[in-house]
Amino acid sequence: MTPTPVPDRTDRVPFGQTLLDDFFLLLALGLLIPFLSYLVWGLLDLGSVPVLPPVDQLVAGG
Amino acid sequence: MTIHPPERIWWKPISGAERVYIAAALLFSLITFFLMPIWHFLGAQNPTMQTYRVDKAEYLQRVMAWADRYKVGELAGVPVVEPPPGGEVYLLARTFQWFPVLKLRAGQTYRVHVSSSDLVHGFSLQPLNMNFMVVPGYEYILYVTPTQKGEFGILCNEFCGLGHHLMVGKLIVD
Repeated sequence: MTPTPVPDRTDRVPFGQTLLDDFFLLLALGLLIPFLSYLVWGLLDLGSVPVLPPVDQLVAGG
Repeated sequence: MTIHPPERIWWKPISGAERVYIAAALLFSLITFFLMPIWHFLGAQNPTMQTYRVDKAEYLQRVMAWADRYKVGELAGVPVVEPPPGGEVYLLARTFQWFPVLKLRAGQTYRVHVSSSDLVHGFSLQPLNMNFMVVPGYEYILYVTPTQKGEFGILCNEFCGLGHHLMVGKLIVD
């Protein structure tokens, strides 16, 4: 029988492991990133559409 | 035999085949992503246009007044409108009609206004396959220079109700 490896408690846990082990953080990111990139950005984009100016003031290429 | 406890640090460097897979997947994603803006220019199917907020009823009135002014005929009850070359062109999408029938000159650049007075419709110019959404409350303005003579169909390609399949307009270029 091979001896059970003893973990070294002084090793620093890599950041990637810290991130993927925190499932509530993953849940929050999974909600926040689409919310910001789709909903918030989309609403900002829609809100920035200007009102139509008089036709003679329309400029080619906008 | 005893069950070994999980390793405290399971994070290990990515190895061989997995690196290749991730690199290939990333490359594919980047290519398909950047093809979107590239095809916008190369494909000439979804044109760049100006977008403005408008009142639906006001746009409807503007289209009717313009159509009355430049009407040259009628086709199946729909006015045929021939605007002056280089001028404004108005197209209205409504259930279940593209109003009016447009008659344009090849080689002339027109400023085309498109909007809807009720629901979301899809503008699809056939057989050229130029497509974009037409949303009520928003006026889309694009600069169009017809290069081919003939008759072109304008289809609605966004389901808008029971008569959606009958929503066919016409563009005549001579």
